[in-house]
Amino acid sequence: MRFVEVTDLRKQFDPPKGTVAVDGLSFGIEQGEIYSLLGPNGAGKTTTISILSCLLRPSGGDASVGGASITKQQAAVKEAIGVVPQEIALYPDLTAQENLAFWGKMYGLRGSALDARVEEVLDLIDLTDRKKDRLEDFSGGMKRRVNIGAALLHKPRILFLDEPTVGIDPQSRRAILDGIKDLNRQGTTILYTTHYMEEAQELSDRIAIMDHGKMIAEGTHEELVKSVGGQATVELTVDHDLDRSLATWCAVEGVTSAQAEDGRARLLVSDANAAVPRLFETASRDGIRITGINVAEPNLETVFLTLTGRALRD
Amino acid sequence: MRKIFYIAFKDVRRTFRDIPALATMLAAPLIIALVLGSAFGGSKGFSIAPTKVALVNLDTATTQTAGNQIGDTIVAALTSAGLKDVLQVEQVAGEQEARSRVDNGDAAVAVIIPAGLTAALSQSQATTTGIVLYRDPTKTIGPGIANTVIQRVVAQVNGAWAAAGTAAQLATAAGITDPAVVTQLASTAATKFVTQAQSTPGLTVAAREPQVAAAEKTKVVGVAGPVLVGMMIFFMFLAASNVARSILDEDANGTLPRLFTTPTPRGVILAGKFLSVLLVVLIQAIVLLIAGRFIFGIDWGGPGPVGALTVVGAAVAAGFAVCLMSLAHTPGQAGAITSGVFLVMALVGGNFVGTANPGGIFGTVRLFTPNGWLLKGWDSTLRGGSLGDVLLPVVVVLAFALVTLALGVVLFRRRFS
Repeated sequence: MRFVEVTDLRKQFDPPKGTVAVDGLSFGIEQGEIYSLLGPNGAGKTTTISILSCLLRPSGGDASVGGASITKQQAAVKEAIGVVPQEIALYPDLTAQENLAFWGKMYGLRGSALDARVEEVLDLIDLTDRKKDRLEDFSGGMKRRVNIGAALLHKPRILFLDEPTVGIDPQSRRAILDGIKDLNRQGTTILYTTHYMEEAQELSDRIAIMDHGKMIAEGTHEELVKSVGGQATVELTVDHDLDRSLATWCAVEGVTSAQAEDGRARLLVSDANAAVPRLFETASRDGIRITGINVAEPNLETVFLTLTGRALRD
Repeated sequence: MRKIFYIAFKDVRRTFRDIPALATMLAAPLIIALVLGSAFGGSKGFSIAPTKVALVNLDTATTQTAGNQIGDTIVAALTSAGLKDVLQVEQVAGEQEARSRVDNGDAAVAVIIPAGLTAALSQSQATTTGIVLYRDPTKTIGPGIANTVIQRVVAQVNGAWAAAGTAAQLATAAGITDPAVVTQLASTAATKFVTQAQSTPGLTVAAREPQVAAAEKTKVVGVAGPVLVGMMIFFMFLAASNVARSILDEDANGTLPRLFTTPTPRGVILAGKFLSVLLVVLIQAIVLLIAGRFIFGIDWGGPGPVGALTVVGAAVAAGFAVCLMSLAHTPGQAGAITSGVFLVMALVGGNFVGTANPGGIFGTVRLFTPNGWLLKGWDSTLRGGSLGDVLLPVVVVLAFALVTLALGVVLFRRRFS
């Protein structure tokens, strides 16, 4: 049995006509792996985390964490999980140390064991020298670190992280991602949600791509890329009529799809090396002046675009 | 169980780090009580500041009147020990100086005893000589007291003068012609009139009053105590709403949902939040009571009734706050609801008129609020009432507290189930 088992999970807000945020989701997470839910805003990632955290009751289906059902054994589930919410859910007028001590108490830690663990976590998140400072004086990245630290105090078996790098600087983001890898190396199972393809690609053992509450693909990075034919993305900037250019390039051999995005032509091609010369040739023949080009190897963005017809950041 | 206290203490700590909240909870009621208490002169009985009197006595002795100056009698009456709390009399050299004192605002009234007053009256002739009260038109109480005292003396003088005049006439009618004898008879009559008026007053007026509870008669209650009680109760409700609103604040900023993901039962979390409201308000009340004792010298009463009223006051403030918060969906909405409701309760309950029972329909209507019952209880305590005297207000307020808290608990549990 997998450490997390999700079976036909469903959540509808304000039934019968309300939004279906999660629609028949099924997946499993092996102990010790990093599993990512990748999808745009509104895909149902946060709702899924909320259900698995026992914050929301599912409208249908069930899930288990470490063998405990989220609907029938909530206390056991909560003992096993650590949740890092998307927002900074901490007390700004308390110090870092006070925040961690409080959350540790909520997980049942007390006395010298709590004090020692708080110091340990402060060291883990590299904020020992700022432990007496109030959170309101911290930068966004520092707050995010404390936000993560508060979920680690009780040494959870699985950590749920809901878009933990939103709105922070690249340096802090790097520190968080490296920290997550360290935790995983120490044995913590990770469920990570993000709309950043690069993060899912870098961190995850397996990725589930979500859209409109459903899982549309699942597998390792290589499996997912291969599943859509390993197509590369070619982005072309033109100083010409973009729609006419797209219509022209759609007919070029090797081009599987073409759409406009941010004023550029975005094409999926089966073989970039073969397709690019053809694209230039066609442009030259039709009087289309190409002013810029970018070629990206097959990636999750491509996968999402292929499966949904939309970019991951739409 | 411990987690209830951890959550409560966390909120209490946060509240007491919030400077604006502390200002509202502690500074505002004390400042208001200080301002109103100072305006009415302190805490030991209803009193006014002594009225400054500039007194000039020009009624100097002559050979005839030596030792019996009416001016001296008036001076003695105005400067007597019994009036020193209400009249601050300073004798000045001349009439002009006395008038100047009033014109400059240094005195509320100038009492000018004219020269030759005693001589004029001792000639047993009608005289228009009179004592002049030159008063500040903006002041009434102090000059009024001075006027009353002088009128008493004048009444005695006039009575003695009438007795002397009558004695002189009777002596003359009886054939006594020696002026010295007539004068002696007149003087004796006058002296006897004054002496008799003081020892056997004759026709008197007796003051009676309705029977009231002994507790209400034992202590004189000042102004600061009732004012601070009224403000303390009002600001306790406001403080309770501020702390209770943290339930909605935490729901909005994510810490409450995060708490729900921990292995801490939701009932425990909510209980901790409710306890924090009660603790903050209780601490607030204790601080205000101590401040009232040491800053204003207020004698709150016995520990039993004081303790009981403090605890139920905190409980009802917490209960109402939790109940009203459970009806709101956002912190902004909560602020509007509680401000409005608590202001109306304070107005109807009488918080802004202190503990005095206004009587009439207002006295009845205020008992529809817990504020009115608390003020009733505190009024009794301030006057020396025992725990038994405040039992009814305590029970009624406790009932208010339990009902509102229960309703708030039910609604919150339903919302966060």
